[in-house]
Amino acid sequence: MWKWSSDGMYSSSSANHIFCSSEFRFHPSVPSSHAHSQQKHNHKHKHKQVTVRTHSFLSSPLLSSPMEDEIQPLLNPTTASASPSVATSGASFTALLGLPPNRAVELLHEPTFPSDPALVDRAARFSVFAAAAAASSAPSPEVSPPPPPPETAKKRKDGGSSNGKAKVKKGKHAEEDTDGENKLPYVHVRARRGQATDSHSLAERARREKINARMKLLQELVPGCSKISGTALVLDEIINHVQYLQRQVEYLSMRLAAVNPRIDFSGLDTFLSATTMECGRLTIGNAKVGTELDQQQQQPVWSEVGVSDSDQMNSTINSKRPQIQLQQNQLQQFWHVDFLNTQNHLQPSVWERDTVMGSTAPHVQREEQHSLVGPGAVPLLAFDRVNPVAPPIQSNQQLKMEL
Amino acid sequence: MHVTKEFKKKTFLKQFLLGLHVSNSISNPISIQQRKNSIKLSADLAMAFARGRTHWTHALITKLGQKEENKSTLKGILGRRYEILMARYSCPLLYQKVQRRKKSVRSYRFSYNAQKRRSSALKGSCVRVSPSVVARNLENRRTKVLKRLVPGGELLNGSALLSEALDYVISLKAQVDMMKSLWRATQVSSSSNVELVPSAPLQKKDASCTIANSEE
Repeated sequence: MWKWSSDGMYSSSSANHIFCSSEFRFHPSVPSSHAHSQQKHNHKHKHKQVTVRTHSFLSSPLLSSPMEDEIQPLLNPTTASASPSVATSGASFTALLGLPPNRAVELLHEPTFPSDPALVDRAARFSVFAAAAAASSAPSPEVSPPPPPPETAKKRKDGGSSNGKAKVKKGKHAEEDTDGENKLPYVHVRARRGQATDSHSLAERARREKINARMKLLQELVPGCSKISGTALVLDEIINHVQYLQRQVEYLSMRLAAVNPRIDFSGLDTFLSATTMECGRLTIGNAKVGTELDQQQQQPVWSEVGVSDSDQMNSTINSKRPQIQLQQNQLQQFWHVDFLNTQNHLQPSVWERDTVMGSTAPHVQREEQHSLVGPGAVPLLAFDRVNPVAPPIQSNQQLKMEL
Repeated sequence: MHVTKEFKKKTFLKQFLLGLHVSNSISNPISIQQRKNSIKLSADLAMAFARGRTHWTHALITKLGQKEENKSTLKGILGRRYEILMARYSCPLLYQKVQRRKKSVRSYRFSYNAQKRRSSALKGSCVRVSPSVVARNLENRRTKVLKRLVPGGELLNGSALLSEALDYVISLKAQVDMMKSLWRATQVSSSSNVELVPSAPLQKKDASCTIANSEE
């Protein structure tokens, strides 16, 4: 009999499950075949891709994918042929759709959950309303319209025995905007012993659990927050932290502004550009490269940003060329050597290694294939040391083209 | 982290640089305040671009775009996307913001008065509220503050607000770290500029060697 694993694991890994799905270990007792695990992985990848595209600005990859990941392992052993899955249409945001008690009782009588992937697919095509109608349970019309946004179901503490507990099936429509490969129609939730099983309290409980999970994550993020108990105080800390970070940004920008009279503004800029040329391996006018970098997270729109500005920047750069050359040479020399000296350092030099990579070989061809891993600086060690001085004009031209 | 810092570094730097260039070319900043503002603007934009497409990034960009002094810079940076973004996101946000504010003020006052009335009627003169209500009030107040802090937070509720805040905190941290390292870089390079003399490469290398060693 399929079983939930204990809640202890769940709570301890709540931090993980939002960012990377570790839900697969929650089903030790499921007789999962190899196909299942494959399916899970397929689900996972697909969902990650899908959730990036989901609808407008209320969904984020951060939010959607954990929900998906949470749901899929729950799904695989839990497709019941007797009860068609309830799939709700709606946003990728998940909400618990409580089924009326009749349905719960009906589900209770099933001995096992068939773990047939084909059934999953077929079941996934049913909508919640159709299912509710088919079940002909009286309270179902109350539940279905207006469709509440689907929520994820949270796992409940089992307590070891599956008998005598009400089981409620929740519905979730995973993606509408995929090409019809709908899986993950629903999620199982087991109500706690002695708790109300009507849809409202369940939904609210799920909502509360979601909020608590987020709060836990925030607690871990904000330093010094894990010891505090109580939502209001934690919120206080979070607010303080956000204000602190914003103030730090202001302060740092003030400092950077203050530093500029010493270093010429343009000098700093060209120095940075020299580094970004290599670091990012992005030619601003090159949309292809932009997509290479942005394929996972960002819209290609961000990469076309610079196209319109090349003219502006050309003018600024050309006007300050002599100064630039001088500073660039100096900086390049310094960074080149500095790189050699700081090879053994860890975190602070990660960024600096990036800059060295850029500055010492500015005219390494930009067509050179560059891995997206930043601190892979070792391959670039094979550059010519004397070069930085030799053709500054060429480098400036390349700067111009780059920018 | 769902956003790899590698991405963020490169994109952030690139965007930051872009922003600095544009703001510098458009209006040569004279005072430190202006420079600071332009730097901050570029940094915020760079952070938003580096993060990608989330609710708060859009809200942040819209907010920045609505200020008069930033418009030219934004136009320069975004190019033709500027018009589209402004058109798409300015109206609904404003509208919803206004609506929500009205609703919240009304409901807050109503609930508070009702509560006072109820409690005073029952208990006499002093206003006594149950601890759960107190907790809820505290939480509500703090949620309101958080909504104001997080860009675009006014429209969100509950778990969505918390997740956006989470995202925002992560990106802010990354932004701060990037700016710190930029600051360190300028420090280092400025100190090196003082020492170095543009001469033969070998000599220069020796000079910079000693400097680097002394810095370590």
